[in-house]
Amino acid sequence: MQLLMIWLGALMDRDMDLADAIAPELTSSFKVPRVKAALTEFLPNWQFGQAVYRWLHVPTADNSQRVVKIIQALRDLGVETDAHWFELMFNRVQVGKVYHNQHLVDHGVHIQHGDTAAAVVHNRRLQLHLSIREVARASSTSAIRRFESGQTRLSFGSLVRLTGELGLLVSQVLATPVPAGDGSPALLTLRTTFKRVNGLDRARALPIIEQFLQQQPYMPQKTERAERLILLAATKQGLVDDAETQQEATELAKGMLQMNLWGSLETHATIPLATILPPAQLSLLFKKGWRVLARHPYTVGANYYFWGMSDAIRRIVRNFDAEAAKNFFTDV
Amino acid sequence: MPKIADPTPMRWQSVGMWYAARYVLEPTQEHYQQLELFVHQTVLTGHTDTLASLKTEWADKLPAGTFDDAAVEEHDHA
Repeated sequence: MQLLMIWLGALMDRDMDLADAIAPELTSSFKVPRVKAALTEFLPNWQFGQAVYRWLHVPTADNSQRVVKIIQALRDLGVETDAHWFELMFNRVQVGKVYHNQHLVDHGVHIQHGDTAAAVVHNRRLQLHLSIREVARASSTSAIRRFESGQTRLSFGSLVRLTGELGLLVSQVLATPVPAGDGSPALLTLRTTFKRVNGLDRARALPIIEQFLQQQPYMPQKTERAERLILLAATKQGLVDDAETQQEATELAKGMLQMNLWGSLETHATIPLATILPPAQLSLLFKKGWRVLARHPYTVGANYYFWGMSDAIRRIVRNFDAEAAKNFFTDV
Repeated sequence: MPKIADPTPMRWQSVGMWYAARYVLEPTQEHYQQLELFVHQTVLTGHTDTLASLKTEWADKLPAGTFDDAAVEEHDHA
């Protein structure tokens, strides 16, 4: 992803030597169907970059028109953020000028990976050759020293200021928990566990699911049952469609219909529910989800809602009579 | 359903599924044109993952040629 951003930057500066040097590696990374899942969200950026790249090499009206068509297609579909960003970028490309600062020195700093917020901050500070004193206005010298050595935590405000000083986003520091690197087990989240068991044979997935469930002994039974349902649905064998599962699914859906704010559990839950509930209930559930997402666009795990939606559409069209299916489409 | 304010791959894909499935259920001229337009926009904007899923999922239920425009564009981009 970083390479793609550098390439787009090179295009904006019309730095064709750099752009040409990077292009082959990107072409290989974005080759369908080999493109990695983590890169798929950048496919439109790659597509846009390719069109601009072609126009820079062959600046014909046709090639310019192709760039404009991409922007227009995004706008027609309501993707205004990307459309606007691409438009600004294309404007910049048209007046871009390459400038190389000959005084820059490559110090060849090795970037260290950090497993904790403190390590990420510490490594980043060293990478930028900044002393604690130089970033101290975010908090105080002693507080930052103690934070980096894991002896204290910073207030959220201080963390926001500190990450700002270091050119980081707070989310980069407070990322999903990962193993601490000292052998101690990290806290598993529903999301990371879901990813681990997704498509895995049930026998191999069960110990992972149990490990996740056991780490939260005070979790209400209702929540634990819901999490188990979600994780079992993600395994290769999926859910067993029996009366007990039906009941669990119906109860879970009932609870979700009463909530006006969904979290990770609810968005993930749309996946098993899509494989179990009848069309009429799914229609209610996805309508509700749509309203929740419209009101809270940054709902955690919104992607899983759309995953569930695709599964629901597939199942309803293939397994139910046309009338039931049509009703689903009318309602959602 | 179809407006994609935040174009994550999953979201784009579910919109495509929606257009394709709706045509499969009610094969009207209007629904086909909307699906065709979506396929065209998907190719233009580079959501090749969605295109691959739609082909795998619905090609046997859609008229031959639904993805022809896509094939031309893909070839053009190769």
